[in-house]
Amino acid sequence: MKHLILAGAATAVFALSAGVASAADAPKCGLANGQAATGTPINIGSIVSKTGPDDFSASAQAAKAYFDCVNANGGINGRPVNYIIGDDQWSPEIAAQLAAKLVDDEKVVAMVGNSSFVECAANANSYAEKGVIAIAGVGVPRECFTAWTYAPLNAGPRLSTLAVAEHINKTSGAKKFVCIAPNIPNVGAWACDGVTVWANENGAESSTILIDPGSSDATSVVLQAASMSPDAIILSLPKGVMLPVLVAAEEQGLNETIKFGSAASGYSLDVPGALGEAWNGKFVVNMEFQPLDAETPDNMNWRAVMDAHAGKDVPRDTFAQAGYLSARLATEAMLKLDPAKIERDSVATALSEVKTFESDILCAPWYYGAELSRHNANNTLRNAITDNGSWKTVSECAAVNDPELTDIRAFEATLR
Amino acid sequence: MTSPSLPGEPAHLTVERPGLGRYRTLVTIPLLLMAGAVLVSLAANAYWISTLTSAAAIGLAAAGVALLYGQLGLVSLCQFSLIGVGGWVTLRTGFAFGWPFELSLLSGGIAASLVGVLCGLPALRLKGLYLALVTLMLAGGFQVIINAFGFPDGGSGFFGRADASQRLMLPRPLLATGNEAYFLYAVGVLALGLMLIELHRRTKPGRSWAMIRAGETTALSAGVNLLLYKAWAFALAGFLAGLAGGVLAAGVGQLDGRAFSAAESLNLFALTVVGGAYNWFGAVIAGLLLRAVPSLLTDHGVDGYLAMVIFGAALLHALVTAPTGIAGQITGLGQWLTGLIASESTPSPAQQEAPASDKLAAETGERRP
Repeated sequence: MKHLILAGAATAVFALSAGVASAADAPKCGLANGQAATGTPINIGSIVSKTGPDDFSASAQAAKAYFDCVNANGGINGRPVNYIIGDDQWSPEIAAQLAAKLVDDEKVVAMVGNSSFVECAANANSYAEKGVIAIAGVGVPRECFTAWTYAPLNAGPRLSTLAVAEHINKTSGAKKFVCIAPNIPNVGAWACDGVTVWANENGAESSTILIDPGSSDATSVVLQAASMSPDAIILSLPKGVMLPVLVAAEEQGLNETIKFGSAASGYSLDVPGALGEAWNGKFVVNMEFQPLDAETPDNMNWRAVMDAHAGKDVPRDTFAQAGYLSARLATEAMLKLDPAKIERDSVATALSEVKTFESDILCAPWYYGAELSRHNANNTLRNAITDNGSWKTVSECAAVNDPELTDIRAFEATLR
Repeated sequence: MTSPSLPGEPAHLTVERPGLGRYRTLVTIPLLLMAGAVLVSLAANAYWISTLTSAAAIGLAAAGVALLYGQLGLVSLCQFSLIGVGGWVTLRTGFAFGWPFELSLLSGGIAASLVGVLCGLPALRLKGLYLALVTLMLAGGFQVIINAFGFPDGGSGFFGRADASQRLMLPRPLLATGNEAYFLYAVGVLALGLMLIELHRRTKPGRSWAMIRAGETTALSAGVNLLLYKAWAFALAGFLAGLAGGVLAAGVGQLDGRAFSAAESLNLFALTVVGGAYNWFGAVIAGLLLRAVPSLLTDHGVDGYLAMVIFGAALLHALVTAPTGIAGQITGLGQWLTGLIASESTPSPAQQEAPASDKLAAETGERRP
């Protein structure tokens, strides 16, 4: 399978390099004809968690940048995209209200670029009922990966957490893990459970510590983890909660004796600098996508789209990569349709028929998998390590060995 | 906390006149609410139906706060936590027994009413600021507990958490699975709750509460059982908050612990005062303020948190100039208009003065003893 992935990636690189190499700075999107679209707008919705403990709106803002670029370049065969973003404020109640507004009132043809901690659970059923497919940017809780009409571009915290544990196990022989995660319903326990199940099947062991991200004390969390004398501590925490834990670990000198790893939430270009010298070569993170600064054609195009259509205040992070990919995927699927017949049903069919969406930002081509009852197409991941104030990629795309992926793997076997 | 007196408020307690006329509100509440709800469900879009469903649920809890504050002068700052208790039990029993939603709703209400009485125990000794502080701390305690244990979502065990498996959604009542139907259902529950309070106010408990508010020594000497009627008020307020929690839980199918911070209880109390704690529709206004105003702002692209600033200003306004809240101002406006019409049709001032003051006494006397 690895050969196929590499072949796929190579094809993608080749196909894109033809168009992008000639104009490295000009973003390329949609029909790329430079003409503003003037037809009847197509409503597309998105729900993100913006106001609240953390701001996850970068995904939708990047998708908006891409759709703006599409609208300036011929639209969807002449029809512009009217992209409507809702802020669920981390409340399932508001998420459900927004879904009613977007799906019933605005009559969106699809949801694209969603990124929320609460939305999947609250809305997955109503999307399925109304025949709306959601191509999410970033899914976090388990519900984002178990619904029939909800398909995120990212891998999710469970796979990301397990991938870094697997990497540390492979490179240092660590057998005893402690996984620290937030006590958010179906996020933390679900993510760490992946490490436990994998460890049990592979002659290792793992314990889980769930913390309240709002009120936990970093030092006591680290000491609690260290008291279990682990070989490695795996963090599956939001960045703002993770950094104090690492600082506390350094104060206790634990960075010298225990391996530290983090799920993709710890991957941000400013983290190695913030951690400093003491962590050089000692902190491994998983990446759900291509490194942010990679100079591959589609990653460069993502940055170009952001520079041309998103403000400087919109973060250029993995959420933005995911949002860009979801918007590009939806655009390409809709471009195949008769512009007069772009409706919810036809768009749902077109999206569900996506079999090989290629981008060098992804490890393997993304597919929807209409035959599956759930979606988790992004499941081959890379890892990186702190290296003199920046990240160095230390492992190439590797399939995550989560037993929960059995159905997904079986389906992928039929694809290839 | 005492409110400045209204012009025209009688200095003595009015004695309820006998007759069925005093039960008139019991008919007007369901008629007005249901008629309004049917009109709204015909005119509003899905976003507003969904928002107003939440507003109806919150209105129930506000009615409980208004009962404690308006009838007994007690400031309870843990009522939003009781919504959480009711929601928790509604979800837990709904998942555990799979029985009709109404039974889950009722058990949620009863559980919250029991917890409400426990919260109210300090009220037997404490009043004013001290009671407010104690109940606020209880709300803080609930915030910690619900964040640690979360709401049931179809898992096993006492806490019913489905942490690493498929979460379940609580099904809506069979009567009302659609959005419009569920909105009408929520307003129906709100109407029943408000009628329950009105019924209490117009019978013995209401009179006992009025005595307690006027002064505990007076009430005691008049033979009012302080313990019983205070506990009764807390139980009733808790019951309504519990129903609110159940209605919210079935609206989305789940609840989120982060939505039940102690600050929400403060907001609920503040907006109940703004809405009006002395009229039944004050609670409806409070529900609309808490849920519809933020939605209105968000719908127009304004940050929903700006609502907090507006609420703060509204509370200041209410405390300084309108202690009876928006509902009191509407009633006052209504009376002024009736007075105006009456004075035009009957030019002799001597003739109309007596019935007008009598009417005012009947209207406000019992509500603001």
